[in-house]
Amino acid sequence: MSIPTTPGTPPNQGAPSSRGFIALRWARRAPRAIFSTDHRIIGFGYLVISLIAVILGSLLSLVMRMHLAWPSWQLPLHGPILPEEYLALVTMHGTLMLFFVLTVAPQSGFGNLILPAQLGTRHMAFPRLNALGLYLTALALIILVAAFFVPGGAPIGGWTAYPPLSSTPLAGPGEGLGMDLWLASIALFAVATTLSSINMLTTITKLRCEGLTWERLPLTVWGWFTAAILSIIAFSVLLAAILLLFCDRHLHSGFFLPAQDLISGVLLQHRGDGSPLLWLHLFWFFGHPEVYIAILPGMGLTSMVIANFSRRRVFAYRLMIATTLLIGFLGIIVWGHHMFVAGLNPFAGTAFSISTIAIAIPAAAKVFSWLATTWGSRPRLTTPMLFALGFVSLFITGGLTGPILAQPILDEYLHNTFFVVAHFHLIMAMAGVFGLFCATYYWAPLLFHRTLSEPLGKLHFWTTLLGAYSTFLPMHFTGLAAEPRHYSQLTGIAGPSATLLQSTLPLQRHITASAIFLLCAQLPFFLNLLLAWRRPANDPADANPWHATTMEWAPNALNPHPNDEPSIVYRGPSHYTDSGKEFSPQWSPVNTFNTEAE
Amino acid sequence: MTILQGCAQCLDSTRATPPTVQAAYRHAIILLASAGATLFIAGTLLLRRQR
Amino acid sequence: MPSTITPPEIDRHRISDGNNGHRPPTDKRTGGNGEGDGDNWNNRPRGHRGPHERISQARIGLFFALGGDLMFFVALISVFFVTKASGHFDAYDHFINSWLPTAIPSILWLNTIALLLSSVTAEIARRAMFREVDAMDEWFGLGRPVSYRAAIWLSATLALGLLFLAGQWVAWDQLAAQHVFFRSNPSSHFFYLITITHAVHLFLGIVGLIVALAALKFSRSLATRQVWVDTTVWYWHVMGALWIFLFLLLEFGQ
Repeated sequence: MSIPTTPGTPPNQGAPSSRGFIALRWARRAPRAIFSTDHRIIGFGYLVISLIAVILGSLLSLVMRMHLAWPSWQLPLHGPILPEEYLALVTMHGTLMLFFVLTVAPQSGFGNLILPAQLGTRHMAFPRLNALGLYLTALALIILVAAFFVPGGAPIGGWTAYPPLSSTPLAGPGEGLGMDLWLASIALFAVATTLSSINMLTTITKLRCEGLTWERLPLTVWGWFTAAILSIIAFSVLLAAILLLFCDRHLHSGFFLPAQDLISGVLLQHRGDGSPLLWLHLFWFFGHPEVYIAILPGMGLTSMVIANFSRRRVFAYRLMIATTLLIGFLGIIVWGHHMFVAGLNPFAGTAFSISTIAIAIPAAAKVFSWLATTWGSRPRLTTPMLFALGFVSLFITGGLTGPILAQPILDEYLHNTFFVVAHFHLIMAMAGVFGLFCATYYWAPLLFHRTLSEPLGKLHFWTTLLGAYSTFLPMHFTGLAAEPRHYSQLTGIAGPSATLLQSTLPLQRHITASAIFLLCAQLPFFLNLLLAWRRPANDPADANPWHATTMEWAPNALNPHPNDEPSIVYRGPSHYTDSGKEFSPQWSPVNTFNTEAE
Repeated sequence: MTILQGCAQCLDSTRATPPTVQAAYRHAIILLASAGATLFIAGTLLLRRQR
Repeated sequence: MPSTITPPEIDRHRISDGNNGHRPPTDKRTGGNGEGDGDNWNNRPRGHRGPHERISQARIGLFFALGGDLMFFVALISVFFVTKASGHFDAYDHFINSWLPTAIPSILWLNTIALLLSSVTAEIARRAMFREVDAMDEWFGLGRPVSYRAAIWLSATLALGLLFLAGQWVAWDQLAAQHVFFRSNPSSHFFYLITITHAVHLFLGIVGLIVALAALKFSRSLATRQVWVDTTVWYWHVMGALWIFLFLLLEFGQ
């Protein structure tokens, strides 16, 4: 995988010709690569951050699953998993995955790598702001992981950090310094994401090339645009909430704290007149848009990839733009559905329930467009296409439980069970990750100058799909059988619930085994990357192996020369002949066939 | 006077909320939602207006 | 019109032209009448077509940044209203609202006036950046009237801004003398939270002003100077308007 060099700076400029000083040369060149303001290097930097976070987060989830299925299992070099350690695992798994994988990789990672090329521009609007976002994100990850190593260990309050338990070190180990580090890390992350979103929004608004009107923008760009607006709105509120929680922890205020509270046997009096409900409002005002920030770029990519390999136009293109924006818009006003069981006013609950169920309309429109685009088209089932179809499948499976959980009366029962875990892992985690795999396989010829192996890719897809369903579908059943989430141990509970939970244990073991299988299914992917790295680069003449139509596949779109003519866009994306053999890319002035003129 | 812990505490303290406080929450919800929605629409219109 | 601002031959062939100085600094987007030597701005990639486009790009970036800021303060204000209404039940089941309005030091009125004045001076500086006569003078080599005029008014803004921050400091001092601290009461939490977060934002504005002044002094490119002054002044205006709102909230909303 070659990292593209900064355009305009000839490699080894003025370097001595002696070859013995490779280390020296690296020492000279590394800072230039790390502190580069080139959006492609920044994009790779974000992907590296995500890769570290996803490996760490997956290993944490593996330990959790092992502990749930075999509570007496001992972690090598560590010993048994204590309840508070299990909660720390839950917290860190959620934080790493939500923030550092699902926010960073699709939006900042692939956004930086591909977006400018899709817009036909050579640079982003604010390269230095962009680079600053990367450094702050890296710093945030370091601070977060540091929480494992401080006295008390990582925080145990969950990725949602609900007060009052997140407001005092009394609540348990990890709620002291660990929680402070968590707050610092997420505050930095919020700033970083805001900066990078400002850059992205300005780039999309101002730097589109000639002819790229807003209806000709690829749906991926619409996904990134909507997600970036949501980021700005949501992360600012999260920052305010974190500031207030910090005041509650250290400055004796009580925004989120009731007048009296019993925490770990200690009675805390007159800390404030606040309510944890207030934190829930602020946090979920951020938390729900966050879900769409994670999934919208994947939705856009799915549309484009399905159209490309079906050799069809995206069904109802303008409607797809509208649904992307509508999902983003509705995403802002539905946060209360996370709070049905927290004692939300029933009227507010009804309002949030209605707006939540309303999201089913644009979401269903998207699904119909994906299906209509590919229906009866004899698509080429390449690996990226398979992952896009997998995205659709997981989106439907995970999405169908959405309207169920959106009803307060059903949520009352299901909220604290594994049913919810199944729901958000299918629709957000798995669909999001399938979007990322789709992006990697689809854009590999651009990013690595090598096509990833198809047989290995297909093996990766089928095993991952099987593993994903095998892991997360049974959670619906254990959830319906009242398996609570956030419980470190399901055995040894007294009373009638013990029998109920006992009945889920075989399924628990199946889920754990599937999770291990799912993790092992990722080995072909890494093997694939490794093999591609060792293969010679693709022939530059074969720069568009998928016969794609969007701008990033134009010759040298990712590595433009400063003297190149500026790009011009002549039509919308996805123009193919009926046979699919011929196509008119966006950058080609010649229309190879007669379709309706734009 | 109640001393509670965890979710039960949250639920009960919310149920004991007087109507004026509930109204304050309602206003805060409307303020947050409308500010967010306005900003979202403004951003989208800006994209549309720039050529 | 374009022919009157076409640079003479000798200027058009000078190298290292990062749209600074050598090109007519007033943006007409006409692209002059040169062809093929990169002189036609319409042939250049987006974002490099002249001063106007850079300014518009900076303004849009600022718009989104301020949108995020707006949400930050909206979140604080929502919490303000909820906390103001909240209370607890005492042993006799009486609802106790412990919110005691914080008496706002009257120096804040003076600070507000200083901030309003600073917005006026900033606007004068901003408009001075776009006076075509001055821009042409500079291009003809008759000194730097643009920078000169703007720097004076921008320095006045900087002084008034520092005066505002000093005034805020005095207000915190006065409250501390009356033993009103952050922890005293829910209302004082908000007084300090709001004034301090606003002061932090204004401090960023001061940094922006200093950078803009440095740009006025050292940058050869008129476009760069225009971008810095224009963006900083818009930021300053919004922070001023935000302060008016926050001040009214603290003064009358408690």
